[in-house]
Amino acid sequence: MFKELDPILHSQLRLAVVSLLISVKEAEFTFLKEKTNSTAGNLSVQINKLKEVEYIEVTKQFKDNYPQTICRITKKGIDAFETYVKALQGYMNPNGQ
Amino acid sequence: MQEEKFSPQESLHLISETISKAKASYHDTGIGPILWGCVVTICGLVSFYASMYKISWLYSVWFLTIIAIVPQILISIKERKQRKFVSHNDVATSAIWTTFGFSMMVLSIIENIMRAKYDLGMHSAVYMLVYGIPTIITGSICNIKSMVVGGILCWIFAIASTFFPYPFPLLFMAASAVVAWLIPGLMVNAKYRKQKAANV
Repeated sequence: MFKELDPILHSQLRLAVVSLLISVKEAEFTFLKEKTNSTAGNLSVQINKLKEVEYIEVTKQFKDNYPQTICRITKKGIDAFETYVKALQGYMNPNGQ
Repeated sequence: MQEEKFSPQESLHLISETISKAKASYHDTGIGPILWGCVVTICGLVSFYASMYKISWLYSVWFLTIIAIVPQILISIKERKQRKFVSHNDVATSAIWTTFGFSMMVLSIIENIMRAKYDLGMHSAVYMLVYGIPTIITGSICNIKSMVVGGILCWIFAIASTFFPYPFPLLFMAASAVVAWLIPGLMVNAKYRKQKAANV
């Protein structure tokens, strides 16, 4: 029996954002935008979705008089990511389950 | 990036590709190691000269290590401002080098208290031993082989210096700073410049 994949993570842009945030302690919105090749609007929507389910934390502040958005993954986000990867491995290697 | 559902294979590929992208984004400038490599090398060589020619006031060259904290703070602030993300390596190395800085201060205090009782060459060996610890850890974490080699050489120099009378251990100290920080710093900086030029 295959485990159901987390619908929040099983989306290209959200998965890319979480994969980036799992690799670093925290990242600016501009860094995520640059690395995911996404538009600011789309990225903003997906970040809000991840924030709503508490997979990431978002801090808004000012840096040199410019607004700055910093994102970091939460413990819940790390757990969800690990569960997602394990489920993917189950799909890839069904006999190993 | 399109917002559509995709296969497990594509998911795994996306995860590994994105994590590789994040790793590739990390570029250390190497300015800090260059600064400290120069400062400690100069201090070691000048104090060797001071000891050989009995010029006591020249020993105050070690105050350079306190003065160098100012440009180090400015460099750190500048690099922090330019940084778009904070890596786990940044957090670990920052903690390691802050601890190292305080260890150096404690060691200097101990050295000044015990100066009359113990051989000065012994102190140089202890300094080199301590230089090696954060250097090897940083080299291992950040995958900078030259730093690992430099740190190991610090320990070898620490042992070797005990076979020579004072002030010759100071020359080993200067050599430690060259191999542990100056050379790796220059190599990291050259790599940084190359990557920066490639991204322009």
